[in-house]
Amino acid sequence: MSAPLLEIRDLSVHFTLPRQTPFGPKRILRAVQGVNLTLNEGECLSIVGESGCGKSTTALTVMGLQEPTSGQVLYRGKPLAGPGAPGRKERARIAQMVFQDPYASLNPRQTIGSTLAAQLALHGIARGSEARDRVADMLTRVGLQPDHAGRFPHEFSGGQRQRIGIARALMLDPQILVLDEPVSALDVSIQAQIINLLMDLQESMGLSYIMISHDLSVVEHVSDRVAVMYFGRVVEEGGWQSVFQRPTHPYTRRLIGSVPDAEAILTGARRVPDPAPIPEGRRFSPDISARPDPSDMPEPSSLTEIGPGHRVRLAD
Amino acid sequence: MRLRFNFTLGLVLVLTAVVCALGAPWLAPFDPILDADLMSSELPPGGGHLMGTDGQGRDVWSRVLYGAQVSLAVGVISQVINSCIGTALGVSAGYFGGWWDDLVNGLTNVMLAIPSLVFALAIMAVLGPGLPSLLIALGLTNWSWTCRIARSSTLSLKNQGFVQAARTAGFGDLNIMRTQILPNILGPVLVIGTLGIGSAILAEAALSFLGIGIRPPQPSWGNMLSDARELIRTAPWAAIFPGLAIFATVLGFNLLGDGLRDMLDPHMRTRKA
Amino acid sequence: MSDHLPDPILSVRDLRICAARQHQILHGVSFDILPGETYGLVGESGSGKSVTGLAVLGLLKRPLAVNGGALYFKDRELLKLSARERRRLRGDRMAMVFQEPMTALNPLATIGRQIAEMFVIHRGMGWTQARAKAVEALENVRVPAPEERARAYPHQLSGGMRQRVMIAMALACRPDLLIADEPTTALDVTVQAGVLELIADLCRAEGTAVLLVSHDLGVIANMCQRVGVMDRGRLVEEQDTRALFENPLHPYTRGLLAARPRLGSRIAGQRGRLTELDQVVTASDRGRDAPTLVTPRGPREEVTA
Repeated sequence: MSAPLLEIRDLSVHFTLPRQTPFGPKRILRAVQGVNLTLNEGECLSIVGESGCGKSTTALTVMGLQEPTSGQVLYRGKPLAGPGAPGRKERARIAQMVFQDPYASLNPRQTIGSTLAAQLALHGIARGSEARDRVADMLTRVGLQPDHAGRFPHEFSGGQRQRIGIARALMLDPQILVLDEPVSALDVSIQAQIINLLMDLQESMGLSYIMISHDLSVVEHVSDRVAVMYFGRVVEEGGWQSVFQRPTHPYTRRLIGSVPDAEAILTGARRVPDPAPIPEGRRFSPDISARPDPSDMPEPSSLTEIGPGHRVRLAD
Repeated sequence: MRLRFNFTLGLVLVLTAVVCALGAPWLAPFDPILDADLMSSELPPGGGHLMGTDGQGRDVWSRVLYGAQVSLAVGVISQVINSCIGTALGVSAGYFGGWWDDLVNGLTNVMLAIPSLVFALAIMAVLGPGLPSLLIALGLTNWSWTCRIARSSTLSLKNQGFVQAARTAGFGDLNIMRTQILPNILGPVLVIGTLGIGSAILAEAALSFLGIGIRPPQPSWGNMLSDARELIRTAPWAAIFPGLAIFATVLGFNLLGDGLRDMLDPHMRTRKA
Repeated sequence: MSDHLPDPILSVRDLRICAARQHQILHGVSFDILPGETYGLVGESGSGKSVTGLAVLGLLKRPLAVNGGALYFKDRELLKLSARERRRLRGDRMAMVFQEPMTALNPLATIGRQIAEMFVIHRGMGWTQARAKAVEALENVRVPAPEERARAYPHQLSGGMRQRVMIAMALACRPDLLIADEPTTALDVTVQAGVLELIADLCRAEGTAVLLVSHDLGVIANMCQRVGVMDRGRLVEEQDTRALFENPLHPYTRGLLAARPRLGSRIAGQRGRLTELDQVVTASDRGRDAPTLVTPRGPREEVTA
């Protein structure tokens, strides 16, 4: 088997917290602890979890916006982040990012056209009229008008800005797109349009996605594979059907059970599907009845295969 | 409405000072230095002397006009130096963080702890009086507020999507600071700069008053005040008019700065609507 | 079906709101909230749902202003009351829970003091007695170790805890009406469920009516007996919750329901493409002045979730 498109190997990111008292002990926040994930070509891998679970830190590490404490990120077997990582320009051709907040993700003092064209000039791809043609072409692809290039961000609605954010991420024709909560700041009706656009682009441009999200219903619709993170670790991982139709880790089950689904509430049918069985004598780790302290060392545990490609974290 | 009135008043005062400074050779009826005539000293305002004459018989009006050149030049040039230093240090400290940030922060705090006038005084003592050393002394001592504002604005900007996007697109750090961050912090830096011009003019006046700023007989509003000290009973106009000039110009810059800040502040914009 | 519906606690009649006297934001919105009822206003950003809640409280900020209609709270016309009288109603007879609890709490005062203040202002209690009541109020919103938490400052609490504190403050004086504007939007899903349940339980126990403003149809279905759907400053439809989901009347409502990505609705082996709103509702169906599509209220017991 050839190397996967992207491989996150034993990634840890720790932050040092300020001391609580002047001579107190240094505390370490383990934002990401020993995460292993792979992304195959043409696939959408979603990382889900709640605030502070480390999903965004993982994404920032892939993008080189956060230095890993230990571990590696490999692109086709070669380092992408951490020691031996390529320069910013080289990485830019491989992976790009779509940001959550469409209002903060565009420079208010640059026209859309110059934001998009600057990348082409920097990488020596195109200048002048050729760059303008490429920008116009990209704007059309994401569902905007070519003449929008001359406008400033404040002239666009939230949904249109997110389209611009997607256009910017695609200008350099990257392999991987990291989507950080791409629709959570948008209205329901706009969400559907952006999700559909992302799925269309993935197909037509052969993109691979890493999507960071807390919205399980969006994740279910878009993903091929899903990893559930809880306090810095992956607790369950598998194909979307395994995770959503046989949610096994108690935390995954709690997440799915918490999604307010109108029809299920009104018909009185609470529907968290049955879990897959886990090997006898094993128990889940971490125990989610108590909130773990992210500055403590976690108990030893490992991801154990319980179905084809379906793994949950069990205590050793 | 009130805001716009203040801003307009500030603009008028500042423009008046600028016209006086630039037009001094044409507006001044006498030479500010050479037309000294002890026979006609301490003449009250009126007659051939709009603002009277000083102790050496020089025309106060002409000296105020030429003094405007010095005051404005010192104010504007030294503040431009301050703004550049403050912005460069503040943006780079906020953007890079780490030891550089700690160093700049420490330096800023030291600068804020020493009264800038005392600091300028020390520099002047080393360099000696005169316009160039005055520019250096005032240009090196008043950048801390600009630095602080630039740093905190940069801190809040650098984690916004568009700055991160520029990094992931492969742009270098200098390029990002220049094209992404600088245009977005220019507003507050401009406001601080405008207010700073006012305080630089005051500082010049204070230093010249103490006799270590602009060397007489070249007129500056500060050394005119200094010269007029002994005449305060006999020829008060020699002190009043340069004093008024300082007052009006500093007020003008302050109103201008306040007005600019209000115009650039989106909250104020909605309040006005 | 009960013959006599009780008199509404809040009656919004043809409410119009404009911005800077020229932009019409709300084009005549009417609805009633019965005592003890939880009424949901659902819509997208800019639909006017939040300004409606703020107008009821009298908290509209310039340039927004009411320029037509009437607001009856019990038997008083709110728009005819003086600023002082409205202020006295606020926090006492009607209260509000905001989306972002961090900005709604005073960062420099302990939460115990902030809750106690409600009793001092509206009930004229002394501080010692009010403090004891504040601890009790924290207990009611199921904050663990309420004695200890009363001495904490807002930044020392998690988002979910802060929202519970907001609820404790809002319900401190047992208001007749609680206005909750996106009360759980800033919270994690697993925390959201608990906070919603808390609001529902407390309001049911006290018979407090709730105006719940939300963009999330799941939250609305979870909480409300009756729902109004807003679009572009108009109330396009109002129905009992179950009827709304089973038989949406307005094309915009149908579009909103269809555009949701729903958990468990993706078919294996397919991409989960979503229905887009404008595939269901045409632009000409939106933003028109038309009467609100209303169905009568069903029997009240049955709809209580």
